[in-house]
Amino acid sequence: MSDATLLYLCIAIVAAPLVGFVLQYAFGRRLPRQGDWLTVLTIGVSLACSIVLFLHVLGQPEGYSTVLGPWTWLEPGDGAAWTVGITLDGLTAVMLVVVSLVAFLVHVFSMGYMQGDPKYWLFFAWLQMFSVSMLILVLANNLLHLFMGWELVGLCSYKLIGFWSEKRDPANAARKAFITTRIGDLGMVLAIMVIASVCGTFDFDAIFAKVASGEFSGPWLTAAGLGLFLAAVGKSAQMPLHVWLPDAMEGPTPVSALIHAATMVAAGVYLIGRMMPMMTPEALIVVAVIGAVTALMAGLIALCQNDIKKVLAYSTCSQLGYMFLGLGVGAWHAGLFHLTTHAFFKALMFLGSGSVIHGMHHEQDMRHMGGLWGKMRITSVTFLIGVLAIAGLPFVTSGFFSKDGILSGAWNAEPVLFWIGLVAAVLTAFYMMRLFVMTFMGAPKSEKAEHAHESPKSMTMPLVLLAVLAVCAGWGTWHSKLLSPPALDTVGSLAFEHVGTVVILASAAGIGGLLLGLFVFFKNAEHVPDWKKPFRALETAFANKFWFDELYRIAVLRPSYRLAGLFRVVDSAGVDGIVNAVGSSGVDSSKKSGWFDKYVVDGLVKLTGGICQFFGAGISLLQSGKVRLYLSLSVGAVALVLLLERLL
Amino acid sequence: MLSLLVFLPVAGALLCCALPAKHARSVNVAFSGLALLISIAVWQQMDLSAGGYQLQQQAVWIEAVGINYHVGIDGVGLALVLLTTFVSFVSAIASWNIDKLQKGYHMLFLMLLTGMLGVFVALDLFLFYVFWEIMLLPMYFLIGIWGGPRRHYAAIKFFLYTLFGSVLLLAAVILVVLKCDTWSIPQITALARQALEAGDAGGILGSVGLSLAAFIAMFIGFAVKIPSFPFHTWLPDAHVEAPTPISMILAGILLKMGGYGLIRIAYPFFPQAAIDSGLVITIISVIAIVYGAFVAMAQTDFKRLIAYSSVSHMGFVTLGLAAGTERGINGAMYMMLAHGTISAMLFMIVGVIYDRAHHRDIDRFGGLAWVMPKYFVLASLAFFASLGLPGMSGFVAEITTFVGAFDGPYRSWAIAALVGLVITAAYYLITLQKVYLGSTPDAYKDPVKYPDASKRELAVLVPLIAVTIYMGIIPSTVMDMYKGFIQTDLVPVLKAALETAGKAMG
Repeated sequence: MSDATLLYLCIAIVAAPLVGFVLQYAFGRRLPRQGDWLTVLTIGVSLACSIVLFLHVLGQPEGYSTVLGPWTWLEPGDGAAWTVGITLDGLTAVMLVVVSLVAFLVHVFSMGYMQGDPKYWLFFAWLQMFSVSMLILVLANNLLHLFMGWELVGLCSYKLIGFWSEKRDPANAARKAFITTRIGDLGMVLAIMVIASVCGTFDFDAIFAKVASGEFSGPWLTAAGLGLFLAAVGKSAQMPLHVWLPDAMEGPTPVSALIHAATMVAAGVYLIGRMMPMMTPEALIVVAVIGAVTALMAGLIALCQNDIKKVLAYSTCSQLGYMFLGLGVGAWHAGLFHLTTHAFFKALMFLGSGSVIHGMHHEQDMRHMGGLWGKMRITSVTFLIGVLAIAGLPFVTSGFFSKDGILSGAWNAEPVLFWIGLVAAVLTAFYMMRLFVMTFMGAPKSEKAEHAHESPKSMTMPLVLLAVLAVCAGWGTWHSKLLSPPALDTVGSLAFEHVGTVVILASAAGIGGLLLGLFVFFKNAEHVPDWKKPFRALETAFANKFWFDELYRIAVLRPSYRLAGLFRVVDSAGVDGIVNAVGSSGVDSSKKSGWFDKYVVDGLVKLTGGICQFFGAGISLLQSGKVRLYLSLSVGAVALVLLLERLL
Repeated sequence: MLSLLVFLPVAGALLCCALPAKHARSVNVAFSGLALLISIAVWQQMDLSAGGYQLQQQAVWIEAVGINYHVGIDGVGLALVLLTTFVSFVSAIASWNIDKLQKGYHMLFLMLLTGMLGVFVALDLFLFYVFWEIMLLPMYFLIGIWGGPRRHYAAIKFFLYTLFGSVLLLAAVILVVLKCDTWSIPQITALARQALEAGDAGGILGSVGLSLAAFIAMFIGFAVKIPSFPFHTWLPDAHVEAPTPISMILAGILLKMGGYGLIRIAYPFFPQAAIDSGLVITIISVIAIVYGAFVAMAQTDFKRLIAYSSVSHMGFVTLGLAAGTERGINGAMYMMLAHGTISAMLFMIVGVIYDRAHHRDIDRFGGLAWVMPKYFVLASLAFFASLGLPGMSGFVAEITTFVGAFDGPYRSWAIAALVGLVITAAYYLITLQKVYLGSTPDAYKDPVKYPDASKRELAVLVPLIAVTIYMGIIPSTVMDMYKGFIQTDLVPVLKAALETAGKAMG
C-alpha cells in the first residue's frame, strides 16, 4: 500500500468516531434509537480500517516501521518545531486492533446494557469520544501528540465514570480518578520539559537517536524516564496511585470493560513500551519493582472483595503490574503481548460481569449471587473461559503464553521478582476461582439470583467473540512478528522466550491455584470461615485495601485542605491586611490633615471665595442682559488684549 | 487607521450622551462591534512577516518637551488589540441587561475601550501613560456605581492600588526620559540594546543601581496590574463587586496591561536589571501559581475562586518572562491571550448563575447540570479549558511556558510550579461537582426561575469557547502573529544580558 493510502486509513480510523461523536452529541437524542446504530457504524469503520492496517503490517518484513508526516503544529521558538504525525509499526497495528475491536464490542454490548437509560444517547457520544482520544494516543509519533490523546482519554474517563453523577458516589469517583491520574501526569510534563530542553523535538525516533548517540544521557534521562513512568503509574493504576481504579467501578460496566480494563489503563504500559529506548537501567528497576509489588498486593486485596466489579478492578491492577514487571525485566515483547491478551480476557470478564449485573437487576454483591450456571449459560461458559485464560491454563489459553513470557523474563533477570510474580499467579487463579464459584456455582443465595435471566443477544454475542479471542489470541506466531522488540543496549535481550523450568512452574501455579480455589470455595465452602480465623489480621488488611485511602485522607487530602484554608487566612489577614493597614493609616493621617485642611487651608479658600463673591457681586451688575453693554465690553476687552500684545 | 480604532469608541460614547438612554446599549454593542471589525482590518493590513511597528502615525503634540502623538502596532500589540476588541464586544453583549443609569454605563464602557486600545498602540511613553490613566477612571466608576454591596470599598481599593503602581511607573518613566531625552518607546528600546551590546551594564540610565531601582519600580507598577503576588489582593475584591461584564473586561483585558508593559517596556528598557532580578521574579511567579491555586481551593464565593485562579494563571506569565527564553516568553504571551478569553468566559459563567440565584456561595448550589444542561456544557468546557486540557488554548500556554521556564536558568523552580497543575485540577473539579453535579436541591428545580442559558448568554459564551478551542487546536495562527518581536528584539537582548550576568558571577 502506498503511504497515501495508509494515511487515509489512519485518518479514517480517527475521523469516523470523531464525526460520530459530533453528530451523536448534537443530534443523537433526536435520531431513531437515539443514534446507537450511528456510533456502532462509525466505530465499525475504525475497526475495519484497523484490521486492514494490521494485515498490511503483518505482511511486511519483521521490524517494519514507518512514519506518516510529521506536520508542523506549532513553532514555539528556539528553533523547535512541534509536530503531529503517525507512527505505523507492529505495536501500533496491534494496539489499533485491540482498541477498535474492544470499543466496537463494547458499543454493541451497551445497546443492550444501557437500554432504557435516560441519557442513552449521551453514553454513546462519550464512548465515541473516548475511542477518538485513545486512537489518537496510539497513532502518535511524538510525545506531545501522545500526551494530548493521553489527557483527552482522561477527560472521557472522567465523563464516563461520572455518567450517573446525579448520584454522589460516581461524581466522587470521577473526580478522584481525574485528580489522581493528574498527579501522575506531572511526571509526563516533567519528561516533556526535559525532552524539549535537551532534544528540541518530541519525535520518538529523534529522541531515541539522541539517546543512542549519547547526547541525551545521565540523570536527566533517568529523570525523564521516571517521569514517564510516574504518568504510567497514575494512568495504569499502579501502587501507590492505584486508588482511583476500584472507585471508578461506579461507572457503567461497559465503561469499566473498555476504559478501565482493556484500553486506557493499558495506555501506561503502552507508553513505557513505546519509550523503551529511553528507559535507563535505573529507571527500569523501578518499573519492575513497582510492577511486581502491585501484582502481588492488588491480588491480595482482590482476594477479600465481595463486589464482583471490585474483584475485577483489583485483578486489573494486578495484571497491569505484571505487564510492568515484564517491561522492567526486559521482557518487552511478553509485557506488550500480555497487554493484548489481557485486553481480550479482561474485557470478556467485565462484560460478563455486566451481563450478570444486568441479569440480576443491578446486584453487584457476589454474596447474593450463586447458581447462575444454569440460568445464564452463555455468560457462564464465556466467563469460565475468561477465568481459565487469566489463570493461564497451559498450552490452550492466550493468558498462559503471555504470562509465561513475563515470568521467564523475570527468571532470567532477577529471581526475587520471579517468585513474587509466581505467587501472584497462584493468587490470580485462586481469587478468580473464588469469584467464579461465588457467582455461578452452588445454590442461588438470593431472590434475585433465583430469578436471574440470560441477557439479550446484543450482550452475549460480544462475549462469545471475546471468549474466542481469549483463547486463540495466543496461538500462532503473529505476535512475535508484530511485537518484535527494538534493538537496545541498555537492557539485555527484549525477545520472547520460554524457559523450561518456568513453563512447568507457571503451569503448576495456574492449575494449582484454580484447583485450590475449587477445593476451598466449592467443596469446603462451609469451612472457609473456620480456616480464615488464624488469618484475621491479614484478612482485615486485605479487605481494607491496606488502608491506602485512609492514609491519603490523613496524609495528603486533609493537609492540602488545611493548607488551602491557612493560605486563605494568610491572604486576607496577612497580605491584604497589610494593604488595608496602609490604607487605613492613610485615612487616619488624612483625617488629621483633614482638620488642618478644614480650618486652615479651607479657611483660606473660603476667604478667597468670600473675596471673589464680593467682587462677583460687583461684576454681576454688569450682567444686565443688555446687548449693547455686552458688545461694548467685548470690544473693549479685545482692544485691551491687542494693546497688551503690542506693548509686550 | 489606528487612531480611528482608538478614538472611534469615544465617538460612540458621545453618541450615547446624545441619544435617549434606552439606545445606549445598542450604541455600545454597535461601536464595540465596529472596533472589532476595524481591528480585524488592521490585522489584514499588516505585513506580519516584515516585523517592526506598522501603520504608524506621528504628530507633534507638546513640542517643548518632545512629546509626540505616536501610535504604531506590531504583532504583540495586534494580538492584544484583537483580544481587547473581541472580549469588549462580547462583554458589551453581556451588558445588555444592565438597567441602572444605562447612559452613563455604556458611555464609560466605551471610554474604557479607548483607554485599553490606546495602551496597546501607543509608542510614546507620555501617550502610553495618558492612556494607562484614562483606563482607571471609567473602571473606578463602573465598579463604584454598578457594583455589588461593597462596591465603594472595592472601587477605591482598585483605584488607589493601581494609582500606587502608576506613580512608581511614572517615576521610572520620568527617570528614563530625562536620561534618554526622548519619549519614544522604539528609540529607548534601541538605546537599551546599544548600551547592552557595548557592554555597558548600566544600561540606558548609565548606572547598575539606578537601572535596578527603575526596573523594580516599573515591575511593581506593572505587577499590580497583572496582578503578581503579593500585589494581588485588590483583584478578588474588585471582581466580587464588579458587575459581570466589567469582571470579564477586568480579567480578560486589564490584567494583560501588566504583562504587556513588562514585555514592551520594562524588559526591553532594562534587560540587565530584568535578568538580574530573574530569580526573585521566578519565585514570586511560582508562589503566585501554587499559592493562588491553594487560596482558590479554599474559597466558597464562586467569583472569588475564579479571581484567585486568575492570580494563579497569571503567575505563568511572569514565570515565562523571567526565564528569558523564546519559548518562555511566547508561552507567557500565549497565556495572556488564552487567559483573556477563558477568564472572561468563567466570569460570564458565574454571572449567569448569579443573575438567577442572586448568590454565589458554592456550597449552596448543586445539581444545576440537570436543570440547565446547555449552560452546564459551556461551564464544564470553560473549567477544563482553564485547567489546561489539550484541544483548548490553556494547554498550549501552559506546556510552552513550562518548557520555556525549564530551559531558563531556574529549572528547579519550574518543576516546583508543576504542583499548581494538580491543585488547579482539584479546585475546578470540586467546584464543578458542588455546583453542577449531584442531586438538585428543591430551590433550584423551578424551570421558570432557573431557565437554561438564554440566547444572549449563548451569544457571549459560544464565541469565547470557539476562540478558545481554535487557539487550542491551531495555535500557530496566533503565536506566529506575535513571536517575531520576541524572537528578534527581546530574547537576543535578554540572552546577552544573561551572558553578562554569567560573566559577572563567574
